[in-house]
Formats: sequence, structure tokens, C-alpha cells
Amino acid sequence: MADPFPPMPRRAKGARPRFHDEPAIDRLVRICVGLASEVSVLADRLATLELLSGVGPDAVDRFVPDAAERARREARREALVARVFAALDDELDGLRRGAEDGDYWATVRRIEEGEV
Amino acid sequence: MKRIEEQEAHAALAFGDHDDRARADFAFTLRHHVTQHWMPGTRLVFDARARHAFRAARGRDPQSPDEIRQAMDADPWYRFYLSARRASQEAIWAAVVPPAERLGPMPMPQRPRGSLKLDPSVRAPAYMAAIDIHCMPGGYLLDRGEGDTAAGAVYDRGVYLYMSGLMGPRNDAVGRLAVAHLQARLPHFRPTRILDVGCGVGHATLPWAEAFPEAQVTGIDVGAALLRHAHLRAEAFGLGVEFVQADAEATPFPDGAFDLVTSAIVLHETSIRGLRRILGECHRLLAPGGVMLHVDQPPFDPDDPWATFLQENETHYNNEPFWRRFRHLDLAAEARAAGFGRVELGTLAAEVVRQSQNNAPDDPRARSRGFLALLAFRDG
Repeated sequence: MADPFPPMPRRAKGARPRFHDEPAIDRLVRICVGLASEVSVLADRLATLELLSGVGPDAVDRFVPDAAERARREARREALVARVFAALDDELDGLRRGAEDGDYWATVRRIEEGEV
Repeated sequence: MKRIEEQEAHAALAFGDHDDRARADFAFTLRHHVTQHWMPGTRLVFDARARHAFRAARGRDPQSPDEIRQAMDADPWYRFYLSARRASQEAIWAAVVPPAERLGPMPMPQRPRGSLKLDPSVRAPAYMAAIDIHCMPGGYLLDRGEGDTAAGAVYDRGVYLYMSGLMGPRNDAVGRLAVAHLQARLPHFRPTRILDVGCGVGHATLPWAEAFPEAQVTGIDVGAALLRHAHLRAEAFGLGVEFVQADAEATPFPDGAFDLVTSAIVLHETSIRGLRRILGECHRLLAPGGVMLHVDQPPFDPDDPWATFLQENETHYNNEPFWRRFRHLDLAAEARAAGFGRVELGTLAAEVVRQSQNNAPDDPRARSRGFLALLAFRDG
């Protein structure tokens, strides 16, 4: 049966803010989030296939994880987000330690000059 | 703070297939990570870096929310965080739109307890059509014709994911807070005709029907697809509510038609002009001695410029055009200007509030913060 409704918009009305001077960076952030989402979906699908081993895609689509499996997946997704977006957390870790890495070439020079 | 407990299924809700669910689960996880891990990191970035850069340039610390913003906007971590946060919001809608889109025309219940009255002549206020609130594609007004519930299905799932499940399995935590506040403040008041203004899909409407089963409960909104979804949802939960398509600024009801007029996190999504008209309309609709109760975000705390800075981000980056101005308003004065004699302001503190207000979980001041309850009485 043909859907009588036109497609829904995928974009919200309202100009999208710019966060970086180079717009390509904002685009890359969106692409990274989109990729992370797709990787997460694939991982969930694999987990389901493993659980159901040997059954067809219809059964996978009907499968709804129970509370224990939902909790396991939530923990795994948390870890995935932390890995994919490690760039953000790494910098916070540096601030928490109270020290950011110094200039790389200054360190090279100190090593080359025998200061450390 | 999150609740893995799944949203309660009902006839109108669209979870989609396995991968739709997995995509929504990822959006849930990422949203929670943004609010609980990165958002508190903004303070660390400020203290460790942005504050010092500002001081080096200006000879003193940033004082006002705007100066904090200037300091933070210069920080590369913060910019990347904002960009990723915006993308996480878009990921919510990207996950929930496709299964809602596939619903097709939904049959309405044959013998409903409540009712649905749509009026195609209702014109939405300009502020509702100008920007899609919360970056929800199509906004509240998308209506593709008879039986279309997609905007409601999208919103219903989106609220659950956006609030990390803290609104409860029925997304009704704010409605429950409002009911509890009214019952605590006015334990002998038994409203018989209740109007929920800007009811959306009825998240905050149904708690009123549950709390006062003898009352006639009416919900109004301008979005037809929201109301179709609201009607299906209320019937699925066994509650009889009258849903009417109407503009809260000028409703079709006669003077004094209700003894309780309420709303939940609606007023901040209007405009300064719309807000004043809505308060005036609430006054007109109340019978003498009637009660108005609006629950919404509280005014900004002038002693906490950091919290104001963070929360103003909703206007800057999340399509909340009126949020910032709304939170600088004196709502008690606005209610008095609309004709209400006695006005009371209360604070409703709850876990769900801290999430919605962008408050850091480790900020002690956040614990005492809550939604604002604006309670006003029409003179008898």
C-alpha cells in the first residue's frame, strides 16, 4: 500500500548555529555522531543475532531486549561513546590533572639538549 | 541520572523495528553522556582555562553571563562540545522521525471515553511557525492530513530520550508535580472543569484526569497531529479527555467555563506578546474563585551568572527562541497585570528539573532549584 502522506522534513526550521570558524569542523562533528550512531546500531544488531543464533531477520526485528539485556547494552553504548568521543574527554582529563601537555617541540628540544 | 526503564508502549507510539530502536537507544546514551559527562566539564574548562585567558586580556575575571560566554566562546574544547551537543540533539530526531513517518493514517477509536475536536480554521501563532522548537523537524504544527499522528509520535519519543527517561514511562513527571503542588496547597479544592493549555500529546493532561476522575478534563493545542496522537494515547491508557484544537490566546470557550486552568512547561515556548494574551485568556476562562496553575522554568538567579550562562545556551543553540527572555520575566507581575488578584510563586524540586535546566549534578545550588509554580486566583 502506498503511503498517502508526503515525507516528513528531516531538518528543523531555524538557522543552524556555527560553532567553529571553519564550517567543515561542524560538518565533521555531525558526521562523527552519525557514524557513531550507525556503529552502535550495528553492534546492537550483532548482539541480537548472537542471542537469537540461526533465526531470520524478521525475528530480529520483532526482538525486544529484556531489562537485563537493556542494561548490558546501555553500559556497552556508554563505553562506545567514551571511545569515539575520547578527544573531548582526553582534554578534560588533562585539565583535571591540572597539567596540559606542554609544547611538543619544546619537549623535543629539551630532550635533544639534554635538559631532561 | 538516567532511567533505563523503557517508555510505556501504547497504541500510538512508534518504536519501529530493531534498528530504529537501536538508533533511539544510541541517541538516549549520547544525550545522557552530553548532560552528565561533558556539560559538567564546561565548568572545568572555565576554571582551568577560559577564566585565565579572559583575565589575561581584560585584567579581571568575567562577571556577567555575557562575559562568561565571551570567555567560553574562545575555548576550543567548549566549541567542540557545543557542536557535538547540537549534533546529539539532531541524533534524537534522526532516530525517531523514520518510524513515526511509517505509521500512515491512524484509525481513531470507535467508542472513545473522551473526544477529539479538530478545527482546520485555527491559525497557529506566528512564534510557533517561525522556528521548530527543540530542533524537532516539522515542529508542533506538521499535519499531513486526516489520521496523521506523526508529529505527536515524534514528540512523544523525543521527550523521553531528551529527558533521559526522567519524565517517567509516561513522560508525565511534570504533570504529576503540578497535581501534587495543587493538592498540597489547596487540599479541599476539587476542580470539576479543568483546562490544560498547550497540552501537546497530553503528557501533563492525563495526571489531572487520574487525580480528579469526576472532572471534565480538556486539553487544547494548535497542532492537529499532536492532538490525534494525544487522543489515541489517552484512550489507550483508559482515560477520557476532551482534546480540542484551539489557540490558547483566543479559545472557543465561553467566559468562566473552567475552575482550573493549567499548563506544564508551555509558557516559555510562546512569546512576550503571546504569554500576556494567554494569561489574559486564562483569566477570562476561569469562573469566579477559579485557580490558574502554570509550571515552567524558574527565573534566572542573578547571583549565579554561571547557571544563567549555561541555561541561556538553550536559546543560543537549541531553538528555544523565548526561553531566555521568559526567564528574565516577573511572572507574578504578569499575572497581576492579567487581572489576577492573589498570586503565589512556588518551587517544585525534582530530579527531572535538574536535567532540564542544564544544572551540573555536583552543583549544590542545583539541588534546591526547581520548576516555578505560578498559582493565581480569580477573585470570587
